[in-house]
Amino acid sequence: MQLESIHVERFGCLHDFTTTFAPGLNVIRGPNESGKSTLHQALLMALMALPNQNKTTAEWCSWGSQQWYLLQLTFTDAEGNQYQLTKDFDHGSQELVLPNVGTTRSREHIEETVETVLGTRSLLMFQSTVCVRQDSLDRIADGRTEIAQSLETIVTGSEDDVYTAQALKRLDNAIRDFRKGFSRTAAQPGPLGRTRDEQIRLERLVTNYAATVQSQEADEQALEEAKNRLAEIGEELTPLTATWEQANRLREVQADFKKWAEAEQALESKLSQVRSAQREIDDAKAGLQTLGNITQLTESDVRKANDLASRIKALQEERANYETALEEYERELADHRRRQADYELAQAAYETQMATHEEAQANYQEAMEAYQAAVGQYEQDLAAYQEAWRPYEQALANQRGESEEYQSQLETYRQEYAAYEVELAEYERAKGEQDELLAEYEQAYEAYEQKLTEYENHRAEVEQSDAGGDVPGQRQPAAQPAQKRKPSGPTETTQVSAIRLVLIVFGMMIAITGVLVLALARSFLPAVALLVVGIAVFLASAWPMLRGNGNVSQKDRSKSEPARAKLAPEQLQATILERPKAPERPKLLLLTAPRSPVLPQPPVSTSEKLLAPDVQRPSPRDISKPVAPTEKAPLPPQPPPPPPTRPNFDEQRLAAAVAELQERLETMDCSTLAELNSRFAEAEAFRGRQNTARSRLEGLLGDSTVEALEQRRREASRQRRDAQEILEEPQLQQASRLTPITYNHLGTRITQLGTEKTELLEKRQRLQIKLEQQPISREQLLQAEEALESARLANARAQERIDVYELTHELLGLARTRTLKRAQERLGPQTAGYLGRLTRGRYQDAWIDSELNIELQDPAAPGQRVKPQYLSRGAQDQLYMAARLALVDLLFPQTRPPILLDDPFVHFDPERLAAAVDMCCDLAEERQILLFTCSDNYNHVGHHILMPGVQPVES
Amino acid sequence: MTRILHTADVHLDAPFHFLGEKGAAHRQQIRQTFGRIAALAAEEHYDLLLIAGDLFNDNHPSRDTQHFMLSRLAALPLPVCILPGNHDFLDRHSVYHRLALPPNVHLLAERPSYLPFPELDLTIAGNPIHKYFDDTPQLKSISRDDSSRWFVAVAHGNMQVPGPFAATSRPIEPQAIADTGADYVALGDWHTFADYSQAGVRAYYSGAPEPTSIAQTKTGTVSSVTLSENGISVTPLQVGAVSAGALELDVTGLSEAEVIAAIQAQAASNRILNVTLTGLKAADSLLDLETIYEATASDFYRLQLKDKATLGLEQIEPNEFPEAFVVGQYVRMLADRITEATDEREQRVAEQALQLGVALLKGHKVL
Repeated sequence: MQLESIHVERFGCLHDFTTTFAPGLNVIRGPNESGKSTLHQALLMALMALPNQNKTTAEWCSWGSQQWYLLQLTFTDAEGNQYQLTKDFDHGSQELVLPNVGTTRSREHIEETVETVLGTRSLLMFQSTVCVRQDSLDRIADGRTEIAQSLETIVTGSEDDVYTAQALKRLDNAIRDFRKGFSRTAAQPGPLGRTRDEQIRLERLVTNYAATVQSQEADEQALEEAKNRLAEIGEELTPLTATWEQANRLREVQADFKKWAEAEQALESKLSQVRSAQREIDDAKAGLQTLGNITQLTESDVRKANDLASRIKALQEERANYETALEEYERELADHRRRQADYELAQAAYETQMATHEEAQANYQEAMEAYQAAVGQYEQDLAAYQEAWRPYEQALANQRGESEEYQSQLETYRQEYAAYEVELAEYERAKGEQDELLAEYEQAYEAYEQKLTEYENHRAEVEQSDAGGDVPGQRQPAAQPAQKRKPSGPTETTQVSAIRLVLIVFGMMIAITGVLVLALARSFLPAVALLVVGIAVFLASAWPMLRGNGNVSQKDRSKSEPARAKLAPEQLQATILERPKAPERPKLLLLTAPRSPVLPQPPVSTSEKLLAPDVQRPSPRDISKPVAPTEKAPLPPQPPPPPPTRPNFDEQRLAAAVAELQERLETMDCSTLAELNSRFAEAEAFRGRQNTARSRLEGLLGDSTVEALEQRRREASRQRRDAQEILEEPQLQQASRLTPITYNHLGTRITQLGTEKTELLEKRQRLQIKLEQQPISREQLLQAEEALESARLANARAQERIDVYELTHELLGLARTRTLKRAQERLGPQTAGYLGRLTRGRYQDAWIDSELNIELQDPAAPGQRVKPQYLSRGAQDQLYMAARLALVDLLFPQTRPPILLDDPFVHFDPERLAAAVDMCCDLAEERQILLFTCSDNYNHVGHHILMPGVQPVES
Repeated sequence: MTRILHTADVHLDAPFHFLGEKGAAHRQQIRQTFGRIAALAAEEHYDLLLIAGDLFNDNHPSRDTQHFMLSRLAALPLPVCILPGNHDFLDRHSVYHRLALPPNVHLLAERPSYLPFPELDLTIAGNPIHKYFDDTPQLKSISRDDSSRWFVAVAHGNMQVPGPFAATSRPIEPQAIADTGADYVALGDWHTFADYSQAGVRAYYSGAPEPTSIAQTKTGTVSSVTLSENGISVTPLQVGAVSAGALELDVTGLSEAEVIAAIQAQAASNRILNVTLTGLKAADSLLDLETIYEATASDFYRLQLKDKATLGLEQIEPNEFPEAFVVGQYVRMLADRITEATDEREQRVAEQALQLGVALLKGHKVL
C-alpha cells in the first residue's frame, strides 16, 4: 500500500492543508507545533476512524471553527489501483472511490476495502505496529524498557504501554492480597479470609445462640406445662384429701378403741395372775413350818456332812489298794535279789577278757612304730635317688628335643634333594643337547677349516702360478700355521678315563656311605667327613669329563687349521671364486647346574653319650605293715535295777473320820446321811416355790401395786367406751363404708399426686430461676442470624471477586502464551533478515524465545550468542527497528503498509544518525516511509514535505 | 355507627436477614409502629381494634415483646379482637396460650369462632389457623349471624385470584367472601392494602404496617372501617415509618460515578431501596458494586444492589480487539466462556473477568 496524498480541512491546526506523498522515504519536516502530529493523526483518522461526532473526535476540531473537519486520503494498493477515501465529520459521512467500481458510502464496504488494502481495519493494531514513536527508541536506549517488553507491549494490544506480563503481575498481587489469610492464618487477612472467618464465627455464634434459645423456649414450654399440671393436681387433690382425712380419722378412732379394749383385757389378766402368786406364797410358808429344825440347817451344813462321808469312802478305798501293793512288793524284792547275783558273775568274766585284749593292743602299737620308721627311711632314699637322676633326665630331654628339630631339617633336605635331582636331570638333558650341537658345529668347523685350507692352498697355488711357478720354500711357512695339531694317541686317553671312572665310582661310594652312616647310625661327624671326602673325590675325577673332552680344548682346536689338499689347476680355477664360509656358531644357552641342597648338621648333643647316675633305686619290698588285732574290747555287764520300795497306810485317819460323821448326824436329829439329805431337799423345795411365786408377783406388779392395777383397768374400760361412742358418729359411719381397697387406692393416688406436685413445684422454681437468668435472648439470636446473612453475602461477593481475578489470570496467561508463541515462531527469521540488512551483514542471526527475548550471533565470537543489553546503543536501535519491521511483516503478511516514524532518531549522535538514515533509505526502497521530524538532518535524503510556514532548505 | 381499625401482618419479632445489622432497628421500628396503631385507635376513638393474623412472626416472641404488646393493648379503652395467623398459629404451643390476655383482648380460638360485642351490636367471626400449612378454606362455616346489627368476618389467607401473591395454601375463595353476607370482611396475609369486595360484601387487605421484605413496596397501611346505616366505608391510613422501593437502573454508557449519582438521587434515610443494574456494560469499564454500595448505602435505610447488566457481546467491536494481539485472544476466549456459561453466576464472573482483563491491558487502574 502507498499513500498518494491527503487533503485536510479544519483539523486541528491544519485548516486547509494538502500534500502529496512520494514512494519511498517522505520526510515531513517542521518545527514543534507546526502540525506534524496533527497530520499524523489526520492520516490515522482518515484511514480508520468513523466520521462520528463524539468526545474523542471533537478534540481535533479546529479552534474557532463552527464546522467539523473533513479528511480526504488518496492511496494505492499493491497493484497500483488508486482509492480516494473521504471522511466528512461535519456531516458524519464517508465515501470511498474505488477504481473501476465507483463510489461507496457503506461503512462495511469501506472498512473491508481498507482492511484489504492496509491489512487491518483496527486503528489500535495499525497504530501500535507501523507507527514508531520517538520515545519508543529512547526507552530502549535508556534501559527503561527492554526490547522484549516493548515487543510484548505491542502484541498485547494495549493503548497505554501496558504489557501482559505486567497485567498478570498485578493480578498475582491482587489475588495474593485477596487470598491472604485464607489458607494460612495472617495478622491482617485479605477480604476472602476475612469474610470467610467472619461467616464461620457467626455461624458458630448462631448455632450456639439457637441451641440456647431453643433450650430456653423448651424451658418456657415446660414451665407452662408444669403450671397447668399443678393446677390440675390442685383440683383433683382437694376432694380426695377431704375423704382421705375422714377415713384416716375413722382409722385413728378404731385404733383407739382397739387399743383401750386390749388394755382393759390385759389388765384383767394381770390382776388374775397376781392373785394366783399370792396364793402360792402362802402354801409354801405352811409347808416349811411342818419340817421343824431342819429348816434351820444351811446348805453348807448338809454339804459338810456329805463331804465327810465321801472322805471316809475314799480312805476305805485307799486301804484296799495298800494291801494289793504290799503283795506286789514282796514279789519284786525276790526278783531283785536274783538279778544281783547274776551281775556279779558277769563282772568277773569281763575283767578277765579285758586283760587279754589290752595285751594284744600293746603288741600292735609296737609293730606299728617300727613300720613307720622303715617307711620314713625309704622315702629319704627315694628322694636322694630322684635328685641324683634329675640332671641326667634333663639332658636326655634336651637331646630328644634337638633330635626332633634335626629330623625336621633332614626331611626338608630330602624334599629339596628330590627337587634338586629333577633339576639336575633337566640340566643334564639340556647340556646334552647343547653338547650335541657343539659337536656338530665342531665337525662343521673342521670341514670349513679343511675347505679353507684347500682354498688358500689353491689360491696360493694360483697366485704362485700367476707369479711364475711354484715356490715351495716360500709357501711352507704359510702352510705351517694351518696344520692341525695332532691329538693324543687313543691308548693314553683310554687309560686316563678308566682311572677317572674308578675314582668317580669310589667318590660316590664314599659319599653314599656317609649318607648311610648319617641315616642309620645318626653319627653326624663321621658321616659328614665321609660325604665330603666322597664328593671331593667325585668332583676331582669327574670335572674334566663334565667340562667336555679331556684331551683337547676348543681353543686349541679353533686354532688348528684344516689340512690342505692339492687341487688340480682346473679345479682351482673352478673354485677360486668360492671361498668357504665359516659355519655359524650355534647359540648356546648359559646353563647353570643346579645346586645341591646342604645336608643339615645333626645336633651336637645327640652325638654325646649321656651317662646315667650310679645310684641304686631303693626298694620298699622289705617294709611290711603290721596287722592290727581283730578282736574288739569286751563290753562290761549291766548292773541290776535298785530294790523295790515298801508301801505304807495310816489306819487312824479312817477311824477319826467315821467318828466325826457319826457325831454330826446325831447333832442334826438324823440317823443316817440319806435321811438328812431327804429332809433337807424337801425344805428346799418349799423355799423354791415360795421364792418363785414372789418373783412372779414382783414381775407382775413392778413398781405398782394391786390397787393401782385396778385403777388402770377401770380407766381403760372408760376410754374404750368413749371410742365406741365416736365410732357411732354419722360422718365416720360414711367413711367406714370405704373398702380397704378403695382406701388404699385413695392413699396411693394422693401420694402420687403429692409426689408429682412436689416435683412440679421444684421444677417450676428451677425453670423460673433459669428463665430469669436468660443468657441469650431471642433478639440476640435474630441479630446474629441477620449479621450472618450479611457475612454470607459478603463472603459470596468476595468469592465471586476472587473467581473473577483467577479466571482473568488464567485466560490472560493463556492468551499471552498463545500470542507470544505465534510471534516467536515467525519473528526470529524476519528480524534476522532485517537486522542483517540494517547492519550491512554484521549481525546475521537472531533467536527469539517464548518470552520474545532476542539474542544475536556475536560477530566477534562465532558460535556465541549475545544479548541486546550488551550491544552498543546503535546496535540496539537497529535491532529494535528490525524487530518492529518484522512485527509489521508478521501482522501484515500480505500488504506493505507505510511505516510512520515520529522522529525516532532525534537524540542520535551523528554517526548513529547516519546509520539510521542509511537504514531508512535502504528500507524505503521496499515500502513507503513517512518520517516526521523537526530536524534538518534528513535534508539530503527522501521526498520532503514541509509543514505550513516552513521554508525549504537550499541544497 | 361503629368504627373499626383493621390491621394485620405486624410480624412482631420477625428476623430481617435482608437488613443485616439493621434488623434489630427494624424490629424496634415495628414495635413502635404497632404502638402507634394502638395509640391511633385510642386517640381517634375507634370502637374496636381488629388484628387479622400474624400479630407475631412466630410463637416464640421475646418476653419483652409479649410484655410490650400486652401493655399496649391492656391500656386501650376499646376491645381488641385477635385472629391467629399462619405465623402465630394456634396449636398447643401457641404463644396465645402463654399470654395472660387482658379482659379487653379477645382471641378467636375456635373454628369457627363467633365473638359477640353486645355494646357495639357487633359479632365478629373467623377461623383461627391451627398450623402453618393449612389448606382449609379460611371462611369455611362463616356466615352472617343475625344476633347483632353488624357482622364482620375475619380471615387470614390467600385470595384465590391471579396475581403476584397467588398461592393455594390458606385459600380464600371470592365466592366465600360473598357467601359470608358480612358487612365487612377483614383480610390478612397479604402485605399490601387491597380491595377484594365481592357481590356487595366489602373485603379488604389492610396491608402490613411495615415492610418485612425488600420486595414489599406498598406497605405501611391500616384500614379504617366505618359501619353505619349510611354505608360501609374503608379508608387506608398510612402508619408505616419505613418505605421500600425498587430502582432499575440502565447503566448503558454510564460511568461508575454516574451510577452512584443516579442511586443517590433516590436517597432517603427511611427508605429501603432495591437497585437492579440493567443494560449493557462496556468491555473495558468495570462497575464495582462494592464501590457503588459503599458510596451510597449510608444514605438509605437499607440499600440492595443487584448487577443484572450484561456485557452485550454483540456490542463488542472485533476491530477494537484484533485477534493477533493478546487482548484479542483474551476477549475471544472469554466471549466463548460467557456464551457457554451454564448459570447466571458463571456468566457474571466471565463478564467481569473480560472487563477486568481488558481494563488491565488498557492500563486502567482497576486493581
